[in-house]
Amino acid sequence: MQKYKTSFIKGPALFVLPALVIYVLFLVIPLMGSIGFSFFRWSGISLNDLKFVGLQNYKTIFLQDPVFWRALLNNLIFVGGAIVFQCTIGLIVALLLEQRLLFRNFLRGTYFLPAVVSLTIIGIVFEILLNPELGVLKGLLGRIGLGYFANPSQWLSDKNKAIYVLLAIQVWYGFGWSMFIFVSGLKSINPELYEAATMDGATGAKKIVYITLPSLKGTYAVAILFATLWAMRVFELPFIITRGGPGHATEVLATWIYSKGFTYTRVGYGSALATILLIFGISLSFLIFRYTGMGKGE
Amino acid sequence: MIVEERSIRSGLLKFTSYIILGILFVATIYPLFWTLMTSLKEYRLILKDPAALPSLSALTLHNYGIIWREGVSTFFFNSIFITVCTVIGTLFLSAMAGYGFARFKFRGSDALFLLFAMSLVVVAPSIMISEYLLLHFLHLLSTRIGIILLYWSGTAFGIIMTSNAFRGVPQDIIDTAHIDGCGEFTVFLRIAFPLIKPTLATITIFTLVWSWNTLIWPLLILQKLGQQTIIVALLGFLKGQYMVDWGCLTAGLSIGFLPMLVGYFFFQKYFVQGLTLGSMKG
Amino acid sequence: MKRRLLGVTIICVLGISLMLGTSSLGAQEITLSFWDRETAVTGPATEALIAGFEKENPNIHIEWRKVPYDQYDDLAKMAYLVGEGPDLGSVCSMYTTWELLEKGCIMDLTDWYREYGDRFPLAADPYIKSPGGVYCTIPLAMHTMKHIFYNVEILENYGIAVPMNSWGEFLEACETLKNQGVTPATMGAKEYAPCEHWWQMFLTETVGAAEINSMLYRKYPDKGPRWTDPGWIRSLKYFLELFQRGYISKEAVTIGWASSILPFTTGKVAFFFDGSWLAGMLPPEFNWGFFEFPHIIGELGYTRNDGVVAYMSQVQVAATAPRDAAFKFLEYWTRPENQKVRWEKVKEIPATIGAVDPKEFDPYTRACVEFAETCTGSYPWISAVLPPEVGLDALGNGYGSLITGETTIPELSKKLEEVHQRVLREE
Repeated sequence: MQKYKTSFIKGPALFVLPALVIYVLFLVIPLMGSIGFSFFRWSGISLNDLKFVGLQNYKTIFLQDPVFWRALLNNLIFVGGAIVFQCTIGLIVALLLEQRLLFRNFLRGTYFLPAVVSLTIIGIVFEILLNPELGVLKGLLGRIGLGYFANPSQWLSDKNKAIYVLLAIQVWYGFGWSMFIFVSGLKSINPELYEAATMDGATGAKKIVYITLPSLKGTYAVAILFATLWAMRVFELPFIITRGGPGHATEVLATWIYSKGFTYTRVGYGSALATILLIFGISLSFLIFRYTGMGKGE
Repeated sequence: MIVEERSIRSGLLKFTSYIILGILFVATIYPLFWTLMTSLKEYRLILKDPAALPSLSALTLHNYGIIWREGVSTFFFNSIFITVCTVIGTLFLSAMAGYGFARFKFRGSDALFLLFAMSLVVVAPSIMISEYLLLHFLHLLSTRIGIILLYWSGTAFGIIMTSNAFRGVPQDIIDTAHIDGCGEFTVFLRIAFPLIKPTLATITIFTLVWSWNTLIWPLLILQKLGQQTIIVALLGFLKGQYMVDWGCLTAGLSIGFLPMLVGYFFFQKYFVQGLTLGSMKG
Repeated sequence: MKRRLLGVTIICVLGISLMLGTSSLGAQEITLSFWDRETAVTGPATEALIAGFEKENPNIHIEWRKVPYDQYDDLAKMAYLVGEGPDLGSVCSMYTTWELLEKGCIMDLTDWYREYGDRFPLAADPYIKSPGGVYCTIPLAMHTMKHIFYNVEILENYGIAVPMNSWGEFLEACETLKNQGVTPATMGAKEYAPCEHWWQMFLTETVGAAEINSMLYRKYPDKGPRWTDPGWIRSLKYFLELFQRGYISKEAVTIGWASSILPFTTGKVAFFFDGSWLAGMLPPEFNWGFFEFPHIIGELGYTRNDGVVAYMSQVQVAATAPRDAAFKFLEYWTRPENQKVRWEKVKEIPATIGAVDPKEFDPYTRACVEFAETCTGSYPWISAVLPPEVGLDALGNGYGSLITGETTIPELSKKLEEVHQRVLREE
């Protein structure tokens, strides 16, 4: 449809206002509140206790807080991992499912299953599965001969590798979403392109490389954007499975905001972290919009 | 010759595909399968060999009985009530706003749109305390209405999707409707809205799954016992009393994901359509 | 047709859930909300006591909400902030409780104690009074932390004798077990507890209860003991040694409290250390024994009998609670004959004096009570009393960092001292 130029009141007011009012009230205002708190020192116990400290919190975060930088790095690992693993697996599976295979629909449906389970439950389930002494996963993987991966809980106790265990679980959860994004994109490719290619004598592999992959440009953008947004917001898995540990090795921004802001009673500091996360998230999304040319499609 | 070569190659490809897909299938369902399987075993059997399949005679619903005694039916209804209200509200609010953005060009529309999009990077801990204070101020703490209104602020995703989808509605349909004397809202409700069903399905699924599965907000806001959602209630006694009893723990976890699993199984067609934006047939 | 059916279905579902989801109360009834974080250990006892209380007071209804242990503090703090705290609630970490009292969020219980204070021994004071001397919580159970639990079968099989006369003997036993391929011990080091409990015992040996108390109640950055003092550093050495020697697996950092018990109760591990609440959680058929945590030769604690005697499972009352009803509840719960339920159902020693006849105690409980009576110095839970940034963050995460090698003992001590001083200065 074409856009009809008008002022706010005469045109879209009726349509946009309801969502806008609720949105401003329940999201924008608390967000403003949070940004406001970031300039104070507050334990969160009594409202009489707020002490204005200006940019002190921000200074401490950037100059004296190694955990912040670790958390930021971990978030970026999640973003990178989501793009590289989650999207790639999603793409490969979507491509594989293009063929005429038995159980095709059934398989496609199953891969999405983890996505309908609560992340909290997923966290607890994996917490149990990864218990080193009772070694369910360890025993199972050992039985089917995956020697190298036979001890995921050892990875969890390694300060450098622990985050990758969490990443694997996140990919397990999310590759179904990515797969469907690509399935959708694949379906919108014009079949005539393939016919033309076949007539020119192209084989399957060539078709994929020269037709399918390029046509999915727009879909990559969507998939990457979604994966990035999820990765910035990751919270439940590190919180439940490792509690940000061992010793902050798997801390992400969201868990650090929670721990610092509530458990260690530094609400102002937590709010400052939250503001930084917000700016970071917006910037990253903006970059992706620009780089993938998504915004131009509108 | 060429034909044989092709069919061998495609056969090999298919074989490899089956292997890969098969491995992924097992990896995907094993954790959930293990949880279900363990919940049907007696506690002692579990500890003997956690990874083993139970024999048919060893299956028991004992663990579920214990969990059921905690009164899960109330929590189920709370979850259903909140989820249904959330989905309906979010759907309409997003669709209306999306229509507004798609149909009209007005000063500040881009800025407003970005304002909505910003919420996609907000995490719950960032706004927890402010939200809590706000809800208390509005006397909406410990009310289901309160949490539903809070959920209704999550319209950003829906707005982006619907505004995109409405743009695909042909202009002549809208013009015809206007000529027939329809007001703008009628055009929206009777004509445009039904045309974007696949997008609506997508939004419904996202909202439904998220609303049912989310933990932080209900844990924080619904403080009275009778109001809690099933996920929160399960966490309360799973991370409390039954921490050590793996039978009860897995039974509780299974109760947590079975509804969504079963729902997904039955409504898979709609899920798939929604997820692929209707570009697939079944 | 289909749409209408869907619409009707939705309305019916909403209606039914609305009806079932709301509860109706009688007009004269008072409802006390009770947020309980302790259901892991004491669930059955609490259930029985609530039932008994409601029977005795038919116009008071207790709304018993089970809150996940880890999130309790955060939820409670926010509720108290806006004045909607639970009428009755498990105690947060003590530091937070004292802050809540200071800010007027929880009730001063001096009046209640005037009437019923003689139900508890003097030793309970650090747990029920704020440092300023105001009564603010009611204790329900007494726990000690003095004995190592062991698997009788394993020790018999490998010829290890108990009790051990020194820490050195214990280490030797671990070495023997390790060489035979048996895991000597396990602990949960994902969160600050229970790994902290081991460390506390070493600290008791190296500096003693009196100095620990000085640190816990430290007011001034320049006075009192420091985390960098030799005794404090040595205690961390003993702790880390267990991992360096391979007696406890480094994977302990991935195990939470609940999961850490399982290897012990399933016979995979020989030793386990935790407080006396553990006894009630061990399965009845499990053949376990106990011995006093061995003293370390050459350390201060060798000639002393310091340790932790704690009065726990405390309950605090919101300032906004209906006072009379709440007081009634507290009185009912701490009545000797009712506290007996704790012993019967979950094997916890009640805090109330004289609730259980000592003749009923099993050997372990008798040993705990004996220790409580003869202990030469006690101190409260370290992480619970220190400011959260020191106890929960720097120290709590410090164990994990030490075990994985991310930080060294001198670095950790320095950091603890820095953070503690900073917090003290800010107050």
